[in-house]
Amino acid sequence: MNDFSAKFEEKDATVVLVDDEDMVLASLRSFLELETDYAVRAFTDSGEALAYAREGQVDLVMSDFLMPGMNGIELLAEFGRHQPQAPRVLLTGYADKDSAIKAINEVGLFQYIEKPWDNTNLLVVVRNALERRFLVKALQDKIAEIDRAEGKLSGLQNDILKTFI
Amino acid sequence: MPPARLTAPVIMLVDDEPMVTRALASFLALETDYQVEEFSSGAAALERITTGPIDLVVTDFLMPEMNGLEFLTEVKRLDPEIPRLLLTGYADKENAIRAINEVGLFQYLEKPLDNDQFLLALNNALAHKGVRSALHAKIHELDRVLQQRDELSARDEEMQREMDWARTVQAKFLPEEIPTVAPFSLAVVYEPSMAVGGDYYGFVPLSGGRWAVLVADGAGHGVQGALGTALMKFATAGLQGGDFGPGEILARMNGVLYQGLPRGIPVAAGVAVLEPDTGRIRLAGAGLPNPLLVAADGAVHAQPAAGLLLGLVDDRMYTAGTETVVELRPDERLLLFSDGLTEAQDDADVFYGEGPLQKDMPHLTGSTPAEMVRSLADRALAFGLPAYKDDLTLVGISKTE
Repeated sequence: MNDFSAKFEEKDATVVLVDDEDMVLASLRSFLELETDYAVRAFTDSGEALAYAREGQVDLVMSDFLMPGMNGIELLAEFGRHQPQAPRVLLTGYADKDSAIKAINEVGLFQYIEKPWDNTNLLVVVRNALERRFLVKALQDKIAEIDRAEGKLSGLQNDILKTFI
Repeated sequence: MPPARLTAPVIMLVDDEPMVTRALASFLALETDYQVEEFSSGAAALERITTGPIDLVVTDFLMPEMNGLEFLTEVKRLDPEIPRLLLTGYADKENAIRAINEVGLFQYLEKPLDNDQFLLALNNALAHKGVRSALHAKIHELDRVLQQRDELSARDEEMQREMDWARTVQAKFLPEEIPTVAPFSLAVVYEPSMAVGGDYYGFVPLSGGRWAVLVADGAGHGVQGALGTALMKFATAGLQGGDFGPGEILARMNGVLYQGLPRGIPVAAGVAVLEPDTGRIRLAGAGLPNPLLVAADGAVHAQPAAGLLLGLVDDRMYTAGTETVVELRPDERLLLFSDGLTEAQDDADVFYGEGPLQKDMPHLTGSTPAEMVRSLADRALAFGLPAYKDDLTLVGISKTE
């Protein structure tokens, strides 16, 4: 599924990572930065992540589930309000799997990834989510372009009607 | 979320162990409305792909004869738009990673399968396919719309070129200057519309120093309008130096136009014959709006001159009962005009109409004929633009003592 004409540029994709554990965040971040050209924004504090969500570019957000204060599902739900176009991925320990499954429908999760995660699998999930996000964007752009072209078409038609009939 | 579909997606499960496909099929039957088809070999599955649409393929890796990777390579070759999922044992992970790059795998799932993960991956893959196919459709639609736009735009240009030609032709048949016919003075405003509306005006010298002032409005636009104008010029050619009154002039024009025009394409015309000797103006009309006399106090009096349109019937007389004689006082003005003035339309297709025209007149008392026609034309144009469709011809006449 990687041979599509609307394929996105990795460097155009911003991935937001949220985990209260520095170690986890750092390893996720360096892994993504090593393997891809995504722009990675990492936050240990959910408040700061949400502040970023209000203003910055977000093409995908991945959050840990167990965090002090707001948990990952609540955070991703809130993220969705600010960045509805960005797919959301949850990182969960095995014990929290049921919560993750519940969140799939309630929050509209793209996928959950169990800890300890498999790097290749994580990369595939992130890649698929981003591809979906950019496919949808390309689709919206095309629809807008069609609207504009249709507008020009009917404008031309009106000109012809006014001038000649 | 997969996009709404009319028919349930068709899912293909391939595993040499029927137990595995059976279990997955039962799970999907329970959780979804997908149509599930099970196959125990890659060869059988490939055979099926050639016979009808498949929305998603899930295959095991380790199979005799054709393994999952080889199978998916063939699937991709047959239909690259079918998303591909691979099931692997932990030991085969390297192969799964190879598959990601080599066959563009959507996702691999490790056995033992987690049902929820499986369903998520399945739904994501279907959604992916749905968005891609919607995108394909839109790209196609956009191409079509752009092509239509280009075609229409080319046609528009061609029609505009024809219009320019028609406009040039029309202009060639109009008089180059306004004659001096003391004690009368004349002023003309002629505004050809974008569409070339087929208006015509002209001055014909008659016997005894008299002049005929003609305003005509041919049916049709564009090339038809331009040709109509040419024909009108032709129709007046034989009148020069003649001893004709306005009704007779119309009757003669009617004869020429009746011969020359296709049936059912009439011309509206009005004639004012200026008589320097008597100081009188004689009017006759054939379907053009009645000329207006603007009194010194701004009151407007329509001058009856309403005969049948030219070119409709042969041998039409325009004298008895249709001629009007006007004795213009120095502070009065006479206005001949084509219906481009009263039928100027705004964007909502509301006509400018004679009502507002008459209301505008009082503001023009004391103005010269040239000022009067210019001002009226500007009002109509301001009212009608940008939907201005018809030619606009105005002739103003005054008389000194």
